[in-house]
Amino acid sequence: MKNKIYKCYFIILIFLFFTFTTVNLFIYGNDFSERENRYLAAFPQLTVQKLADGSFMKEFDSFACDRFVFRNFFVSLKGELERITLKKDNNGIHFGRNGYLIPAFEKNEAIVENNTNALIKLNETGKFSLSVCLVPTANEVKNKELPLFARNGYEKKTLNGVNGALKEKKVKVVEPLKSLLAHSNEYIYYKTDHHQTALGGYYMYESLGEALGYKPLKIESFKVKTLSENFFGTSFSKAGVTGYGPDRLQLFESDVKVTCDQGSFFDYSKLETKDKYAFFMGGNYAVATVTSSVKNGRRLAIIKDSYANNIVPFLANHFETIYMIDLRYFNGDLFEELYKFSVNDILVLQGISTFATDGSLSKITEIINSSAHLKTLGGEVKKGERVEDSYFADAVFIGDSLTDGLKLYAEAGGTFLSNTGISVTGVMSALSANGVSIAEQIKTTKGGKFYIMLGLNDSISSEEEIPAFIKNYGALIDAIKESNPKSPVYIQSLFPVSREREKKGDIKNSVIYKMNDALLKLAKEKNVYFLKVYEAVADDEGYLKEEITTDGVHLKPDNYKDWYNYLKSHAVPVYGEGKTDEIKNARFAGGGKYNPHKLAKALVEGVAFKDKLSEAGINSVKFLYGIEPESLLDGCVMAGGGSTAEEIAIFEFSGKEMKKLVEKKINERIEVKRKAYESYMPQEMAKLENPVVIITGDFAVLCICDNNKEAEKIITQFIKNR
Amino acid sequence: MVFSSITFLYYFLPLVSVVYFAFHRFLPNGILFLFSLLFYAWGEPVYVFLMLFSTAFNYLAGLQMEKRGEKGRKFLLWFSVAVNFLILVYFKYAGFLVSIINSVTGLNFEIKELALPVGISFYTFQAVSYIIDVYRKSAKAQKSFINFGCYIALFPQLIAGPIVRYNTIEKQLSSRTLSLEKVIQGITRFTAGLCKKVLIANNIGALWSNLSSLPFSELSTLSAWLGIMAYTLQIYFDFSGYSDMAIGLGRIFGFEFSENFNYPYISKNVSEFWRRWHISLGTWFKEYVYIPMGGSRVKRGRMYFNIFTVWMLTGLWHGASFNFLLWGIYYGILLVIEKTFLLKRLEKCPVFVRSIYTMLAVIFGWVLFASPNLSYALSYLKVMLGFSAAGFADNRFLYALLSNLVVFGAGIAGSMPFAKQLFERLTETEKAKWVTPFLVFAGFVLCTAYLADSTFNPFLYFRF
Repeated sequence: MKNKIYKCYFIILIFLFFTFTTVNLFIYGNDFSERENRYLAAFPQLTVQKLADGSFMKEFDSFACDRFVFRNFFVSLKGELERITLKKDNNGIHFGRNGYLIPAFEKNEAIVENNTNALIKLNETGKFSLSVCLVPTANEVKNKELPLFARNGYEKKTLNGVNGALKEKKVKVVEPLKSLLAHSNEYIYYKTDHHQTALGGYYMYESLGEALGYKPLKIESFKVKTLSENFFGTSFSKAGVTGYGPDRLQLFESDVKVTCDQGSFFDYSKLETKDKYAFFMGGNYAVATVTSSVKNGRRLAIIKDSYANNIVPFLANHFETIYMIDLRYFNGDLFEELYKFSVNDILVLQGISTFATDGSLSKITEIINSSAHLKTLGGEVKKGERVEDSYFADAVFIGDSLTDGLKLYAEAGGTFLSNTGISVTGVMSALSANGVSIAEQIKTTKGGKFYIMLGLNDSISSEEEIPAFIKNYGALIDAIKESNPKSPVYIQSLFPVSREREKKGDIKNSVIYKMNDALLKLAKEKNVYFLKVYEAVADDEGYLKEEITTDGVHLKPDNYKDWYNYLKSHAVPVYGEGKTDEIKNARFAGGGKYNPHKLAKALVEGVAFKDKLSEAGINSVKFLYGIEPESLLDGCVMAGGGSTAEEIAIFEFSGKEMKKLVEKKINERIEVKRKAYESYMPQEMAKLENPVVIITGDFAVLCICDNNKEAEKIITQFIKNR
Repeated sequence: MVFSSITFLYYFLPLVSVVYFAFHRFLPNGILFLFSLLFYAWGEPVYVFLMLFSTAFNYLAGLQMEKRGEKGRKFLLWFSVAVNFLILVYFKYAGFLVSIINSVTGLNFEIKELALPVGISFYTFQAVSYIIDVYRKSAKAQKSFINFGCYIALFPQLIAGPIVRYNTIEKQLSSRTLSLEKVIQGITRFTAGLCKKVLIANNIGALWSNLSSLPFSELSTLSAWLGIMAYTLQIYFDFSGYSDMAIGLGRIFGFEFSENFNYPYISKNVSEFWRRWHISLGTWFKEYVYIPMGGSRVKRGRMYFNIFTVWMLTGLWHGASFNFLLWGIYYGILLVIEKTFLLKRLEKCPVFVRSIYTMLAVIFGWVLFASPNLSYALSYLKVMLGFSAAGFADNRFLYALLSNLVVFGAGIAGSMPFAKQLFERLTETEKAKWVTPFLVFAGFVLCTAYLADSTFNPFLYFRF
């Protein structure tokens, strides 16, 4: 009888077991586990490959475990059992006093060492102003709440060890521990989460002020807003026990408006989910840009983990732009990114718990070793291997009449956003030679690299004016980087003027060299390249060589090649996604009946031009007039070095449509020139008032000169005699 | 596949039981052989073919042996033993041998490090036991390939023993009885083993892995002692738990495997310890190595040689490294010492002295055994002997002790017979019939909780 009962019990057990197994087979549950904040493993794909290497089985094991029926119940059961058996922790979370669940401090010696070395190496590159702040955790700050004997001081030891090693190697270190300990009785860490509360974040922000150069706002100036009274954090999930929490999630609001390019800066929708800390920026991203309404132009890059998310809202009161890079997810070239951001100040802001267990910071070492970007980042480009003409195919040149010359006489490829008289101050409102707004073109042009040569037209006569000039220059660089984040930018030094020219008194070489120094500094700050192109044109005493200049400022046509050669031998490898080789072997369609070159020659000989006009290459038809050379039968453009407005353009074409177009383009060109010379060289405006424009059914001539009558005569004669 | 996994408990086990009990009349061993292959392939999808080769080779060798005369039998015996051990040496010891050769000769041979096929030490020893048993005529050659495959590959004992000698199971392969009685015994035994593994070994093992991964500068003397004691309990509960599960599973399918552990930690001397620890391995070495070499019925010198040979091999069987070799030699020395004079002296000592002596010997042995290399073992021993940069005791030790008090208590109680005796006395009575089934139920649920928690991994840094 008793045996029978015994057996009955077991038969019931076996029945239960099979019922449960069957239920488990058919219930899969949700794909996403709120409690763990992760997607649960899916049923693995069955392939021969996966069977052979065993990955199918491994994935199935994870699947079986992740999707086990009533899993949450079982997980909690385990947590409770640990607590009942007097364990003081579960899954690495201490059951603390006063409702605190405190993560145990863990560290991996090798990781700590590698991360520390990576930061030292980053600092030693000398390219950035680096500050490091490791955020202590509740394990140290709230150690009063730890269970008996759990207080072991290892976190503090690690913090001190790392900070000491960094300081020894001259890395700027921020140590908030003292200040946090002074407030350790306050609610500065969540009880059920490893992060700091808004108040804790405020104290961090206070500690960071000195290193980052801002005066922290008083705590009273923030409006405290309670976001949720029902926050159960990650520690709660991990510990798997009841009787803890919830936490209160608060926000210290200030007046600044902040946006984030990855989504809402404050993501209120997350307050409805389990993961309420993701209220800050919606979580972690590889790269995120935060823009604040504080218009002070300050930029800061933060290499961060989730501890930073709570501190960034405070920093947004002092930085207009904050770039956040999370190296745990970011796998590109860090320096390309920092370059793109034009940022010089870097803050490493990580929880010490992350620093001690996650090796992603040591990616920096790899990047330093492999990044070609770093080698030339932010500074002078030294002479290197000579590049081919094709290097400039996707280059964009921004400049004044000198840059025009580079196009016209050195026949450099690429796009030219240049025009006579353009200054740094005026560049964003100027038109390029073919009459389109430069600002607009910077926005729309996808260049492989950008060359800037501006400043002579800013008429800087004393050192005091330089800072304002540099500020505008910086804005231009920012504008370029905004639209072409991956393309390198070259700042070209200004050319000095010749000894003769300096005597006039309005331009001093001493100021020009001061400007060049300031530009080099700017280049370093913005992490762009600097080219001492004056080396190609200056004599030993620093004056523009007399024999290569027409007016003491501009170069003789042949000498633009010297400059171009300098650019060719001072170029960096490019990693951007610029256009591929697009240099066109441009040519006219051919079959013309006139001989434009003959007319040009006649004009140059017959009309007394002030400047020495030379023939500009065929690309100038497109560059200056916006006409495709292929659509013309023949043509010729003659231009000066930039010291006058003088210019000759002769086009031969066929068809009414083409006539209309050529007429329109010539008029546009005149308009552009007028605008350019209006402020730059008002004395040249006379020539532009009413330049000679003669257009017949298949032939068009523009001649900008002093002697319209003579020019008209020569042209009419030429057309007649054809 | 391992027993302590959701996949085994809630997919494999129900499936194999249903199929077996539905169709065992037709092809009982075929079903078990097929499922065993699936079980093995789950962890070793490629090496399952190696095991099949080994099975086929030994099957044919056995058949041939029975047909041949004395000369042929002898040749076949040495040939098959050689092939079996060559395979084992190639997969398990090649890297170790090459490193020894390199360090002795200063040459620089290179060898592709192969992953060790799971269970190869166990099934090779079973195969060799079959060959020797057939040679000695203590068993007949197995005519059925399926039955033989079932012997080699039987999933309950395939990957961690016990090592079943062929002559002990020959009859069961062809006829065995199934009964509810046996199934219930099997379930109970299996659950007990599962609890030993999941609730105690894994739990206390976490403490060992925690303390042993500390840098020596942070390991205090008492922490080191606590750590190695945790390992002492872990390895017993892990291994004996596995054997319990194997025996229990075997019983469900009608097999009777012999016991593998018999409360080794209550031993009063090291010789006794080895009669109670991993019995199937000790018996194997005794039956097939020690006694054929002459055992102890030889001259004194020869006997010592025999003992050392057996213990070096025993050490090496556990793994291909100097640690294990040294660990084997360590026991060889202890056993020789005991045999020559110590046993007699010990008999005069009080029981607790004998117990402490045995446990200390065993614990120091485990330091060698558990260390990844010799230098680690030496550093660890140094800390245990009081040379610690972190002092004699520290907060970490106190915390670890306090936090693991219950599981230590359970472990110590569980490694002595009185807990089981108490349990048996309690469940004897009429009224307590529900206790065992209830404990089986509770144990199973709790183990499930721990296993389901194993992939429980709250993602610290949010979803990306």
